[in-house]
Amino acid sequence: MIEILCAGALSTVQDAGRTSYRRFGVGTAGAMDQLALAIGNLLVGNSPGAAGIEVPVLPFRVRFLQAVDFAVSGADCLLELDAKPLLPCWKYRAHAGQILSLGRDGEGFSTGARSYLMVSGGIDVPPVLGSRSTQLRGQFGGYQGRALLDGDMLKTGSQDGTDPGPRDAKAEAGGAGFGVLAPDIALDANVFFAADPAASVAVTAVRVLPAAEYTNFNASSLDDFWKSGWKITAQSDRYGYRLAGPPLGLTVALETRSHGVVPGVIQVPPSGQPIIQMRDAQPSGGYPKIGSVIEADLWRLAQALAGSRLRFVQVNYPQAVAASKANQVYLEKVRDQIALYRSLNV
Amino acid sequence: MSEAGARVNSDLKDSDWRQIAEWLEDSDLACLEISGPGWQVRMLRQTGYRVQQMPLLRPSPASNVIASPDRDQALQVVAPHVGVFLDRHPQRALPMVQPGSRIRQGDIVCLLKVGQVLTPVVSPADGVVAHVWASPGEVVGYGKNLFEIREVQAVWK
Repeated sequence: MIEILCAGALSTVQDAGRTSYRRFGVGTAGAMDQLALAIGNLLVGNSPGAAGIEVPVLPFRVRFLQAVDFAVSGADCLLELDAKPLLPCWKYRAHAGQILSLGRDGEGFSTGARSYLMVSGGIDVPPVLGSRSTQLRGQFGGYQGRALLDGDMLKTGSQDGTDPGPRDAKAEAGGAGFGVLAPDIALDANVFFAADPAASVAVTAVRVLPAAEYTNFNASSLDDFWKSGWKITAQSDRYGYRLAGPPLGLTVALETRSHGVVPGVIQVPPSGQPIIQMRDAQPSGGYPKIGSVIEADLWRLAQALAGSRLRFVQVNYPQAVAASKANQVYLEKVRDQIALYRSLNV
Repeated sequence: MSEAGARVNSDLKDSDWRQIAEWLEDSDLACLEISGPGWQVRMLRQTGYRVQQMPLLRPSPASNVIASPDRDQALQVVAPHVGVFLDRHPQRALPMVQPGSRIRQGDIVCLLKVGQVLTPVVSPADGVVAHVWASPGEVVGYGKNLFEIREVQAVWK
């Protein structure tokens, strides 16, 4: 059991999302940074489907009411367990009564935009349509279909066959825990991002595939699309990232019927200011699509703060597939190496 | 030598022990300890080599401590396995300890990177860090000296 002492704002229970119901109009929901969710689950020994808590606003504080393994992945911030500083992406053992703090009043994330608190056994809320993710628009799933509030009590438990029993003995022996390299250090995608002279810490580069209506945009707009540092406005959230920059225009006015869209799709409404669909977006839309952020880089989008800038790097389909494969290889290495470490660490 | 080899309960054959003894005789080593799953053996150089079956030690935490014979109150913390020595977590600016840092038993003093995994090296005792023997990014082997701790108050058994 976990008691929420300080819920921050918009903290939600999320897992990998609802993938089988898009055709019925039910959006995916799920963690914005799927890599962080996966790494956190691997660290605490959960199955990949286990749910954790997505924390987009600091400070966030919980009290553990029973002993659990936990890890905080995703964005880095000041992490403390009973005032003892912790490492990010690290598996720890908490005893009953201990308080975990993410961030402090007035301080935000040091890097990234969302942290994930993962606990052994996962967050135990009733699954809805095959997932424990919170669907905020429809107010279902997760913890009572809403963001967490101070005083909420979340059960943690055995899920999807994950049995915390045998792991407890090893956890006691490996008291200092262990960690993994975070994706932004371990993934080598620099070949795509290194060539930009304007690249800096405040600019996140993501790879984009041209979408179906790409050729309907005029040449100067296409140029602006790839060259601009698009600002992520404050009106950006789990539904979509609204970007600010040079207005993008079509060669000829276009009307399309509403059709299915997925997270990563970049739509251009009549205002000319692009919107990137995120995890809680409507599963359908009618605006022309200029591009789609590749699935492998959605986690980079998730870790881009409002107020920072985005740059789009053009790739083709084989390159996008290769990028997804690289993410998969990284996760497999993490999984295998953690398993090896656990088996040797008697 | 073959008699001693026959008494040793290990994965290695008599001929292996003889071969190892020959290699050792050609070297300057006075003592060699070899362990495997469920067994541990020490070979001492006296007149020829004497093979001695040792009781299996408990695995780490004791295995990362060596008491220096010539410095009374100093402890060497050694690498419990091979890895890349990191004096700080990749996402942290400051080293975990420095010479002069006061540390407590159980504190993480450094990390070893093995592939994607970061493993902790913990202090076996309360004390003060006197020396850091490895440099960040260096590949260290099993048993390599990493830190010297002085003013030792308690030792992990």
